[in-house]
Amino acid sequence: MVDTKYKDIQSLRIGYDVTNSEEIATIISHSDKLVSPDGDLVKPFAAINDKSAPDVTHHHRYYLVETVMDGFNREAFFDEQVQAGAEEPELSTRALRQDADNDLIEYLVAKMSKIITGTATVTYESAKAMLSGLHISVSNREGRKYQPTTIRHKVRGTRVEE
Amino acid sequence: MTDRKYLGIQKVTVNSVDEANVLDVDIRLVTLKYAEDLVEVKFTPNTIYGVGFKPHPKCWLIKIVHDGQSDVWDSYIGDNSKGAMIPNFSVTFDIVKDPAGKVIEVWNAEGNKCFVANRDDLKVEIEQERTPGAIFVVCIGTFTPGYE
Repeated sequence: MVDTKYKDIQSLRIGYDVTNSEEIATIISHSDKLVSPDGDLVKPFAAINDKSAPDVTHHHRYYLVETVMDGFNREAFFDEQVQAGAEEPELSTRALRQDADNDLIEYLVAKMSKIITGTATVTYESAKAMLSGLHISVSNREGRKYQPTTIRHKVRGTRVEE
Repeated sequence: MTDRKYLGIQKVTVNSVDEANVLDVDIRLVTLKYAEDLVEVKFTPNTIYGVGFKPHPKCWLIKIVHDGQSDVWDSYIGDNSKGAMIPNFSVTFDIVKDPAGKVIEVWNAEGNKCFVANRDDLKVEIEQERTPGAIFVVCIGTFTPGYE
């Protein structure tokens, strides 16, 4: 058994591979969860007076990935190409498109420091992630330490942690 | 890596008129029904992980909270009629961009694609330093950050 305890989040990269991706490093928090539009992931078929439920039904699911950064990285969303191959500017793919559907992201990778030593890398399945939310909040009020930008991605594929 | 940290809001500009008394600015991508969930994951009956995405048409919703109110919006709010489109609209932030230091970031909206969606949340209370009031602006065109 290997337990992993995290220390903090190092970065989130968005692009189409490790060298062609924009690194976001000013991250306040990163989280992901497996969710189902149906509610819980499974639903037992229990019958009255049954000693054990005979079966469960597995609901549909996807990963909801939420990252909060301090500030905003325009390049990661407006400029960085997220699919290999489309080199012409007018054909280039972007995590955020204003005049079209957002494109599928081929490289979405989070890196976290472990509490003792080393790095945990979470890779979301290529071309199975799409930007599904963006909220920038900036304030002039006194005592505001962070000016957070919250981004959400939906991943209808796998999550691999190494 | 091109992370930028916001220091605050410098001004909001409405048809070339600056409004400087701003407390908060929220910029959201929303659907045309103002939902922040921009895409749905589609499934077929036997597929656990889904078969694709259904993106919704999206626009920008900008919430501006001033300390009080500003008359720069009056021309674009029809109390009993349709409000006019804003000819030009921008938000200017003070930011820190490494290694350039303090610079500004200007979010410019596409001309004549923004309108006032609501005036809301005005709250005046005794013994309170701030009297915040909010304006909601919807941009159905592009809204793009640039740096100076």
